[in-house]
Amino acid sequence: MEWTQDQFRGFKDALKGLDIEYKVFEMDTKRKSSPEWKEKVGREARELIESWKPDLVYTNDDNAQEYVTKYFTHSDIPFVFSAVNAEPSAYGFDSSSNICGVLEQEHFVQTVRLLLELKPDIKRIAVIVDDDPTWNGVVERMKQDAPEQLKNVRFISWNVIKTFAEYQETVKRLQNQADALALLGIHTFKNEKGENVPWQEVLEWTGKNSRLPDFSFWKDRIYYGTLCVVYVSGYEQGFGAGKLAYEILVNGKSPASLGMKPTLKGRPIISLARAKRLGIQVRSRTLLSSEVVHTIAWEQ
Amino acid sequence: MTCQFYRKPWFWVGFICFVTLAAGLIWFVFPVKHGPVIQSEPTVELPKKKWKILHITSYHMDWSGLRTNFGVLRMP
Repeated sequence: MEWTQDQFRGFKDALKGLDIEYKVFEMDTKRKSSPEWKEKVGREARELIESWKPDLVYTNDDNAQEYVTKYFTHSDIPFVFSAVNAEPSAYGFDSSSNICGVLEQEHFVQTVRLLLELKPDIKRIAVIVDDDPTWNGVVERMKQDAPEQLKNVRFISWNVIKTFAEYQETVKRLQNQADALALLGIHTFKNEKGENVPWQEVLEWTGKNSRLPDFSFWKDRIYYGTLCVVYVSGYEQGFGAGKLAYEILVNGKSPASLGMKPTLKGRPIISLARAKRLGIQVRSRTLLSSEVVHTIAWEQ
Repeated sequence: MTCQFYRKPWFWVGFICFVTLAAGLIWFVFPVKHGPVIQSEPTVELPKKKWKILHITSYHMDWSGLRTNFGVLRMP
């Protein structure tokens, strides 16, 4: 995934010049999201830490925290994380001496404002999210920020969806009830065989069957037809984590003294191809201040 | 007739050779040290630390797009 690779690339760039042996363990919990799988790979990752004895562990995204880092709070091994959506207290990090990192706080308000620049008459937004616990923190923050900062927009429903069929049915139903869709988690919708439908297929179906403008918070969605995003840069998340790792390894700082903060910068990106499909005329001012993607992967 | 040898070229050739040899002798036997003596500290080459970092990602990577010259080992 581009998101994961960007983080790792940023992390390595922040540690350039140091002699480092890396090992990468992929939990692969997007494609395989069953609790049994997460338990299994989590256990394997923990065993690898015990046997390999790294000087530092770099974990990213929430499942690695839930199934690995959480088990090492107050241990001697320093842990640095990035792209964590939940509050650090959810994993017991806030009181831990060996853990620090970079939080991922999506640019929710900015993304909705970008959507309103593209289509100012939007009043009702429906949110769609899969059943991965990663999204709990995101949804909570959205519910907290929306009433105060987006007074002219109403969030009419928060749909937690488990299957692809349920997703299709919900999107069709919302065509007459909402003006726009917020597509958050779309990774663990199950098909008839109980397997996860790839998110790229979910977006292809959406692009071909929905006439509602949609938004998300992650850049890789744009290439598969999501209309607009103000994204958190994966590279900046990883680079921030790498700088923390440098302070711990080279300057001998304690992880607890380095804290846990989000990256602040959001980058707007628009799918012009999807805007054309939806009949939206994008103003030049918006085009000039955003990255623009001209094609959709499934159209080619 | 007075021997005015200082007017003879061989005198000056001999004189210059003598002075040069004498200076050389003094230089080697009694070396003159110019300025303060700087003695360099003995340097100890510290062994460069090789760090071991384990990266655990919740998701997966597309390895075709990654630079592979970092000694990255993929597991599992």
